[in-house]
Amino acid sequence: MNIRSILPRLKQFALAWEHWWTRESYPHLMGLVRIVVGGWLLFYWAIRLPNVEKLYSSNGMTFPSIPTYMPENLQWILDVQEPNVVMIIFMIHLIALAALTIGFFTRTSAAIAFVLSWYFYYIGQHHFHTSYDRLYMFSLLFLVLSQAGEIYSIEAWQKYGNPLRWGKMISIFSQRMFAFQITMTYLGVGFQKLWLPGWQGGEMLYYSMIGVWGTPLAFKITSYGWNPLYHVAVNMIKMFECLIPISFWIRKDYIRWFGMGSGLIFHILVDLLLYIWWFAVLIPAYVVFFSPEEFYAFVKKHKPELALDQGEN
Amino acid sequence: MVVRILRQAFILTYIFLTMCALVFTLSKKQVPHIKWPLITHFYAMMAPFQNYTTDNAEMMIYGQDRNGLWTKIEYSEYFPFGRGEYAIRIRMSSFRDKNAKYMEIARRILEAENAKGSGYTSVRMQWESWPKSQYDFYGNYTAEQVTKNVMAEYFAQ
Repeated sequence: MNIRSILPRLKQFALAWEHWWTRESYPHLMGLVRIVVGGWLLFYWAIRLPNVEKLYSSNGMTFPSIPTYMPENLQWILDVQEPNVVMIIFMIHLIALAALTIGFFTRTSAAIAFVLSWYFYYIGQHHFHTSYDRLYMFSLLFLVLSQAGEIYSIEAWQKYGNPLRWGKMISIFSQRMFAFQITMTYLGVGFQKLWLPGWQGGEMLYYSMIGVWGTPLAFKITSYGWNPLYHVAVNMIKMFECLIPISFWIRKDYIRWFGMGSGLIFHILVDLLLYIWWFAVLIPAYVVFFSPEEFYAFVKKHKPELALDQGEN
Repeated sequence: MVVRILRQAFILTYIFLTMCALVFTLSKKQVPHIKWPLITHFYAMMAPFQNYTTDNAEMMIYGQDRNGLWTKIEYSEYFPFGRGEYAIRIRMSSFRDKNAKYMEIARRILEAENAKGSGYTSVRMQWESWPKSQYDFYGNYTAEQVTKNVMAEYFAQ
């Protein structure tokens, strides 16, 4: 094999790679993702509104964490502020999330919400250091990089006279980033369970259900005592979590539908048995595993009023 | 062209950091020469619920009055979260010197309580743990089964 035969293949691969990651397509799917993610984050942050003073201000138990990458002369940014100042910052955050959800100055709103999510993370959320807080932050970054305000938005209304009209194809880039991150989250979460010592038996599930996260339903179930079925349940969780992220990408024979259905059942059970509802947003987020063309065709067929023709700017 | 290059750079960087995080998640070994702060966010997005304990634990807060009587102070007044979120937040795992934080929390709670007229002479923070019960979170929370570990006590000046 000489280099002349490799180069065309490399070029072919580069083109296919770029096409897969960044090709232009219909904006409808990302319009929906924007509404779902923006609405979810608006809810997530809005329920903290009554406790902003206690959570993030100098009147609360607020201990910021300075990230190691932050230059010393910028560390004043993470000084704990007085309650009224924090409230103003928090309201800007909520307004940015509301604007993002309705698609008003979409990218700017997403950028503000991203920066303020980062700020509140290091001011107070770092104590919880959860997967979903970080997923939320990256979701906002993906929305900054997207053109998700092209449809189903105030922007579309202003530009084309109707929020259901749209003007141009948008890059699939942000959608792919969402899909990639969700896949990797499930892959990491699932595959590590294959050899994590704690996950080698049903005790993991049993003791989790009677721990700090257990719901009344979980305690009701555990009140019947230990049962070897917990071993079965843990193995099913491992199987699902390892197979789900792979199945999302297989369009053949309804395999992705099986994966999404499994994910739906899994997350509903998690929410019923443990007070960790924050991952539930992943269920509607599965939509990113459909192609924009498929989604557009589906909407056009079943809800044509939501997929009007392109508008004139 | 610039946008295309930047996009590809973003994608490749993101994939690389995610793969480093995946390697650590699966093997607990860091990819050489890649600094941890670059990986930490990516790792944390794929690593919840790794282990379990057979005991329940909660950071209890008590105020002592002039007669030496201890009264339990509800944490939710100062930490407005559910039990699980409180349990994780109060570990103060972002900080090396946790005791200094606990002392500061005790000080702030003492001041806030006394501003309400509680008249405490000190506030104590202590981890209490007890065997998990299949019936209730506090099912085995009995004097015989609770282990106490004082983390900080702040006295009124």
